[in-house]
This record gives sequence, C-alpha cells and structure tokens, in this order.
Amino acid sequence: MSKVLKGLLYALLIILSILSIFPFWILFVNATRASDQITQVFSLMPSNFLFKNFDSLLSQGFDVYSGFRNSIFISTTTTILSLYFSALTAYGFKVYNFKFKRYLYVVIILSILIPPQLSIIGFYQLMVKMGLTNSYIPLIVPMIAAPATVFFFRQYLDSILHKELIEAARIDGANELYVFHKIVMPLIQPALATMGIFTFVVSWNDFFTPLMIITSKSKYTLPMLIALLRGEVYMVDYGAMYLGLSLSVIPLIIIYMLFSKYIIDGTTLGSVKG
Amino acid sequence: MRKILSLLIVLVLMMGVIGCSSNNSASETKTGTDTESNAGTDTEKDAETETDVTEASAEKEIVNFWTFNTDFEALIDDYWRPANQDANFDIVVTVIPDQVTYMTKLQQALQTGADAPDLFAMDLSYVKKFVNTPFLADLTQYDLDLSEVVDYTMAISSDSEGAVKGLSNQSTPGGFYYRRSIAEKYLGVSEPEDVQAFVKDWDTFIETARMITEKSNGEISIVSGVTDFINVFLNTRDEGWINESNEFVFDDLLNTYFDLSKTLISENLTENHNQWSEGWYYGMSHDTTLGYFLPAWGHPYVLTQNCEDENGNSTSGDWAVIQGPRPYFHGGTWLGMYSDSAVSEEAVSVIEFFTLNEEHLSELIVDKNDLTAHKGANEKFYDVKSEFLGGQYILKVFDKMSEDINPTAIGAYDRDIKGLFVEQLTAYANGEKTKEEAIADLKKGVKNVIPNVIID
Amino acid sequence: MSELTDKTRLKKRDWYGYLFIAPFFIVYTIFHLMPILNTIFLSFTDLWGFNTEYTFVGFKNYIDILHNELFFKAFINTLIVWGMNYLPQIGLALFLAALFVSNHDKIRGEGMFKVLFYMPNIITAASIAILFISLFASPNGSINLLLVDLGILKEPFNFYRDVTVTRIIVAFIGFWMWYGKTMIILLAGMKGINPNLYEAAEIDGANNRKKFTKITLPLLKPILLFVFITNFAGGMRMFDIPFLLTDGGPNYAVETISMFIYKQAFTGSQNFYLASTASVYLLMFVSLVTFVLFKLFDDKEKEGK
Repeated sequence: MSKVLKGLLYALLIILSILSIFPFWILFVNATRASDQITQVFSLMPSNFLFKNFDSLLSQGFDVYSGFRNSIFISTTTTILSLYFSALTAYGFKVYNFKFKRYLYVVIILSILIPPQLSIIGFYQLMVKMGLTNSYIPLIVPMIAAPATVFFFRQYLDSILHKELIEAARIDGANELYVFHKIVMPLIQPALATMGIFTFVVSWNDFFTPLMIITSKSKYTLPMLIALLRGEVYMVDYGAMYLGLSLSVIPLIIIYMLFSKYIIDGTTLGSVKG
Repeated sequence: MRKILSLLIVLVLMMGVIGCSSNNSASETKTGTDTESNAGTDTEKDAETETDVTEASAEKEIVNFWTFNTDFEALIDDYWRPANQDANFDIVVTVIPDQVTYMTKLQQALQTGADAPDLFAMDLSYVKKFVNTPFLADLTQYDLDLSEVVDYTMAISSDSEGAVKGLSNQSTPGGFYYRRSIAEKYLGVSEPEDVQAFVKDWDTFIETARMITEKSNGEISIVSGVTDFINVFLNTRDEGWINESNEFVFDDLLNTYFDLSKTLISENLTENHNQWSEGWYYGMSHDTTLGYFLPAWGHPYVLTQNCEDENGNSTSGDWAVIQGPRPYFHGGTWLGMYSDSAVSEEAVSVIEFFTLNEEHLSELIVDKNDLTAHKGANEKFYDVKSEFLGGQYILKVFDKMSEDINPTAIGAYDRDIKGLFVEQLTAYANGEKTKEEAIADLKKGVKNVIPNVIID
Repeated sequence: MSELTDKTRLKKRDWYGYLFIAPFFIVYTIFHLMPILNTIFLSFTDLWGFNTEYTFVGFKNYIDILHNELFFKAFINTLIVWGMNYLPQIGLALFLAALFVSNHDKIRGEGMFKVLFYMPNIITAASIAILFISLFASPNGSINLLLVDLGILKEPFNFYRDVTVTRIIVAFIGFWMWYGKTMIILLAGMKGINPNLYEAAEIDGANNRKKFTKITLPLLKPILLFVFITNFAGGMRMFDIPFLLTDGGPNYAVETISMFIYKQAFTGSQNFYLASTASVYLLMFVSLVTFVLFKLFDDKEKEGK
C-alpha cells in the first residue's frame, strides 16, 4: 500500500473514531457540569460539579444501585436465554429435515419484519389478562423467541458449518444433543459474542416496554429511573440527568470491551480442511 | 468463553436471589435517599419509613396513586406523610415518566378496571379527555367544601353535567415577566403600571418591540420567540378546537397570533428561540430579552432556577410581572379519583388534603412561592413581597388575574393539536408558506389524527 | 435391509428438529403471535380511543387509508431518509470489515478502531437526539457558531426548518449509529471463512481485490443477506431519531411510517384501527422487498460457482 493511500486510510479511521467518541465525550463532560451551565453554554471542557450532581441524583430518589441491579438482571437473563434458544432453533433448521420446515422458517423471517407498534397494545392487554404486569416475566421470557438472532445464526451456520463435521461426530457415537452442545456451540463463538452484545445493549436500553409493564419503582430499570429525572421540562436538573445517562452507558461499554475480543482478535475458525 | 458464561450464570442466579422477585408489588413506600429498595424479600412490611409505623402495613389500606412526574411523589413525602401519621392507610405512588405512556396506561387501566389506580394526576393538556369519561368519580358526591376553589380550575374539571371530576392544587394565571433594568433603559420606565402601558394591546406591543430593537441596535428583543405566546392565545379562545357539533374551529384569535408572529419574525424583532430551548433560557440570566410570558409558577420554577449566569451574577430582584396584552393561563395539574375505587373515602381525603386543606396549602405557598387553587389560602399571603420581583406583592397580583380566566377553549385533544398548530405557525412565520396553506395543512393534520372530526 | 434402518434412523433423528425449535415457537406463539393477530384483527374494525366496542368493517380501512395523504408521505419519507443511509452504511461497513480482515495486524490500533466504531450503537437514541438538537440549534447552536466564526456562513442557518437538511441529519444519525454494528456483523461473518482458502488463492497469485471478490464476498453471502434484510427492516421501522429530533418536522419532512402508526395509536382520537392497517401495509411492503432480496441472493448462488 502506498504511503499516500495509507495516510488517507488512517485519516479516515481517525475521523470515524472521533465521530464515534464525540457523543460520549459530551455525555461525560456534561455529567460534570451544573444544570444551568449546560442549558446556557455548549462546552467540551469538564467542570467540577460531578459530586454535586451525584448528590442531586440520590436526593431525587434516583436509586442507582437498584436500577443497576434490575437492569443487569434483566439484560443478562434475556441475553443468555435469547442466545441459547436462538442457536438451538437455528441449528434445528439447519441440520434437520422435517415437515413444514420451510413454512416455519418463513414465519421466523416475517417476524423480523414486523414493526413493534403492531403488537405493543395487544401485548400489554395480554399481560394484563395473564396477570403478569409489574413482573419481569414479560420482559425476559418473550426473548426466548428472537427471530433476528435465529436468522443470523442460521446464516452463520450456512456459512461455516459442514455436514461432514456432524457426520463425523455421529459416527463416533455422539447423540444429537452432544453434537449441538459440545461441537457446534464452540464453533459459533463469534456469532454468539456478536449477538450477545447486541441483545444485551438492546435489552438494557429498552425503555418503553418496561415502562408499560412495570409499576413499582423498586423494579425500575436504569433507563426508567433516568427518565424520572426529566420531570417537567423546566425543572430538569440536566447535570444530574447526564450523570444518570453516563452511569447507564458505562456498564454497556464494559460488557462490550469484555466480549469484543471474541469477535475482533484471534484466528479464524474454519475447522474443516480443504 | 465458557468461564465467562458460567460466571454470568452464577451472577444471574445470585441476582435472582437477592434481587427483585417477580411477584406483584408489596406495599412499598418511597423513602428518599436511604432506601436500598430490596423488594427481594417480598413481605408486606415497609422497608424503612421515617414515620413511626407501629402497625405492620399489611393491615393498612393502600391508596394507589399514579402520576407522570415526581412532583406529587415529593409532595406526599414532604407534606402528606408528616401530617397524616395516624392515618389508617398509606399511599403508594407510581411514576410513569412519559406523558404518552402515562396516558395510555391510565386509559387502559381505567377502561378495563385491571390494576386501576385509585388516584391519579392529569395535566391540563389532556384532563378534559378523562373528565368526560364515566371512569372518574364525581367529587361533589363527597362532603367537600368547594366554595373557596378558584373558579376556572373547577370549570375545567367539570363535565357537561356539572359533576366535578377533579380538583387542582394550583392556579396558573399567566403574565408578562419583564426586566426592570432593561425596561428603564429602553422604555424609560420600570414600574409595573408604567410598563403595562407599553404592552397593553398587541399593536402597542409591536410598536414597543420595534422601538426596543431599534434603540438597542438589535441586541435586545422584547421576547425570546413567538412560541412564548402559545398559551396566551390558545388557552383564551372563545371556542376550543372542536365544538359541540364535532366541527373543527379555527378561532379568529389565532389569526391575530399568526399575524403577530409573522411581523415579529420577519422584522427580526425576536431571537426566534422556541420555549424551553437552551437559547430561550439564556435570556433569563443575561441581558438579551425584555421579558417572558410565564404563569404564576414561572417565577418559582423557571426564572428562579435559571437566573444565574456562568459567572454567578444573578438577575434576581430585577424582575417584575404585569398582565401584558391579554390575561391567560398556562398549565395545571388535576387530581382525579377512579369511580370504582375500593378506598374512595381514603382517596377523597387525599384529594382534600392537597387541594382544600388551608393549612397544607399555606405551608406550600411559604415553601414554594406558588399560587394555589384555593382563594382562602392565597389571601393570607397577599402582603408578602417577592424579592425576586423587586418587592411586588406577587400572590395578590396573580390571584387577581385568576378571576379573568375563561377556560372554555380547553378540550380533550389540546395536547395533540397544539403540536400541529405550532408547526404551522412556525412555518408561516418563517415565510415557508402562506397563511392559507398553513391553515389548510393544519386542518389536514387534525383530520389525520381525528378522522371523525368535521372539517370544512 | 440397511436402507430401511437408515431411513428410519433418519426419520427418527429429524424429530430432533421439532425438539430444537419447539421452545422458540411456543414462546413466540404466546407472547408474539397473539398480540400480532389481535392487531391484524383490529385493522378490520373501527376501534378507537376509549371505546371497548367496535364494529367489523371488512376491508374498508385498507381502502380508506390509501386516500390518506399523510400515510403515503410517511412511507415515502421513510424510503428517502433510509435510502440515503442504507447503501452507504453497508458499503462503509463492508469496506472497513474487509480492510481489517485483509490487513490483519498491519493496521496499527486495529482493535481500538473496531471497538470505537461500534460505540455509537450503545447510546440510546434519546441521548443522541438531545445532543443533535443542541448542536444544530439556531441561532446559537454549536455548529452555527462554528460555521459563522469560520466565515462559511454569513448568519446562522435554521437547520431544522429546512426539509432537505433535516433529512440529511436524520439519515446521517442513522448511518452513524449503525455502521459500526453492521461492520461487526460482517467481521463475525468473515471470521468464519477458512484461511486456507486465502492461502491457496495467494499461491495462485491472487491480489487483495481478487481475494475479496472471489472468496470473501461469495462466502459472505448468507451474512450479507442478513445484513441487507435486517437493515432494510430496521430502516423502515425508524422511529426514535426523527421523533425525538423534530417530531417529524419541518412540515412532516421526516415523519416516518412508524411515527405515523404511533401517532395514530397514541394521539388524537387514538385510531387503533388505522394504526393496525398501516402496520399491516408496512409488513406487506417489507415482506415483498425481503422476498426479492432472498431471490436475488439465491439466484446468484445457483448460477455462480
């Protein structure tokens, strides 16, 4: 690669990086400024109101710890369940032939396309009928069926899974469940990590569904608690709110950092020669 | 990967044990900063309360209260609990911090009766919607003394048969808050009666606007933007958006608003900021704007919070408030009760406390400097001077204004149509379309969200 | 004889298929399908607002809504705004993924770049909206101040009152929030490609571009299909950003079909029947495009190597 090209490339990468970090920077900076500073002047420099804002958060009844705990619980269980059952389902479609297979798969594809507004009211009414309001069940259990994740795993399997591998294992005497758990699951680690991060982020940031379902404050997720800070437009403590937003984003960054190496580094995983 | 997975599973299981269970809400009370709300133990005892609870609250009745922001939650903690320690019931507050979700949930709950709250707050922009349904209790059926309630607040929450479906704890007459120093510099006067002469009607208002802009070389404007007038016009029309025959009405007053905005913007007489935007706040602590159209609660909740600039200089004391070109009102919150509430006596007592209890309301006035909807309470403070407003008798001034308020324009669809209206107003005022186009587009927009309204 | 036992063994084993997909479909039917069917049912009624009773009106809504100017406008807006974002986003993501894979270990800070590019997807739309509202505000928003200072603009420009500019801003935000995620998906897909293939190609004298077009792209097809479909579906559902940024303005310029549906269902007289009808139309449209995409990708596979 010529030096000029390389230079341009790096310039592009750096510009994109700055663009990507920019909002986080503003978020964190504003978390350290006072509310009226924020509404009046735009600045890239941090100030020294961090602790005051934190006190303000707590005094407004913003139970950081409770919100954290709830969000982590919901997002983690959702992610684990979603990943496992999506992989299971995708594998089922990939490897076996059974009646109605095509139609069922089409149903999955279609459900990715369905706009959420289509079901939210019906979903809420159903939960009311089932007596599941103010519970985490409507937030977690439905995630067992995650069509987009299934679709992705299926495509991924199409890409890297070869029948020979499975046949080989079967000949060695492995039963179906063993093949899935011990051979295929490790094989799709990058896919699991990728979808794991996405599912976690989406679940963490989901605001409207919990809002419809949950009514007791002790069960509120972090984004819901942050929304409480907004109150009426004129009484918002913007500093505290930005601090709340920052606190909400940090766990996501951490989780992402932890899992990114499964997608980013390492060797490729083609395991069948030729 | 394996290790992290197992770690996560362990974490999750731990959370499940100490974290939140998914059973329905035990009676919880909000207790401020030192609640580590551990609903994991789903017994029905209060976690911690500041009051001395001798009985287990499992024996207490619960009044479920829904609201859309933390205001009432704070009011309950700061005022109701201390004053009602011996009550045989407690209030559980649920805050749903998004107006649309709040309205939807409330509607669903009242309609189906499932999980319906006993008490709930309603904002002015949609109170009429709920008032006209059979799901709200008629408060005149209870032994309440409504004689001192500010009239217009009750008019809004009464349905067509005279049943009072809600009560407010706030009276929200609006005025024009202006900066004394700026008035002195560009109008030559600074006392309220004198300044009022400069803004006594819209024509004079425009003249004054021109004068200020010219004298200050464009540095100072009379107001921050044309959306400042939104409540001045919308809330004071003779007819609301939709009349009794279900027809859409474009009140002539709105033409005045259109023309006023067009003039102000095309002649650059304002900074063209929208209400509640950053630029709009700026003028409260700096010298760029003569005044703001805000209601009684504008002074304690908006101006006082935003009067300091980045160097710590404050504009407090440099303000005063006058009627302005037109009496109006802005905002308000009503408390309503579910018609099928199982704890109606208790719920009514809560409403009574917040809206009719003179002792509480007096405390509120002292603490918050706001105007209540109770004439008796307000009267007690007529001779209190406001330092922020350079010594004006703020409550007296505003309470007088309440008498002139005519709320007939308030309707069920106000919230939605307001947004559509502002869009068309802005488009017209900024020269993006003609007035006929703007009004036509407004009608189209209304017809789109309210298909069965009749539009000519 | 062995054939029979083979077939029965096959048949028995295929039952595992049902077992594996059962949890998905059970949960799906209960929690997703029922609400959806309920909504579709509503599109054949006239249910609105506080009412609990309704009448069955057949296909009336489907015809009526076609006369609704705003409905079409919303559809077209969604296509326009998303169109500005769709291909560039996938293109850039593909470019970056390819860059990183074929120059593995040669670009300094590669790992860091990859991490950073995904970050915008982590922040909620609400936070981004707050930020962009204040950035492009007029007359004192930061961008305006900057451009006027630099002399590029003579006076502040009211960005959010300009139809085209607002659309570009919304498209840009969508692009910027999602390109990292798309890149990661493509990276994950590329990781599954056997490195021996590349080695073999190099021995045959192939350069980077040949390796990319002859090996990477074809093998990436399943993942690419996923990307094209999910991005399209996601784009058509765009709601948060235009809603929070300008509530569809100026003059409905960025009012997307999702916003139209939302406003029908939750504002005004709350016309659930209209919201449902619009949703069904949206579903039909997206299904059609998806079907076409599937065909496109499938055909290439059949005719090609």
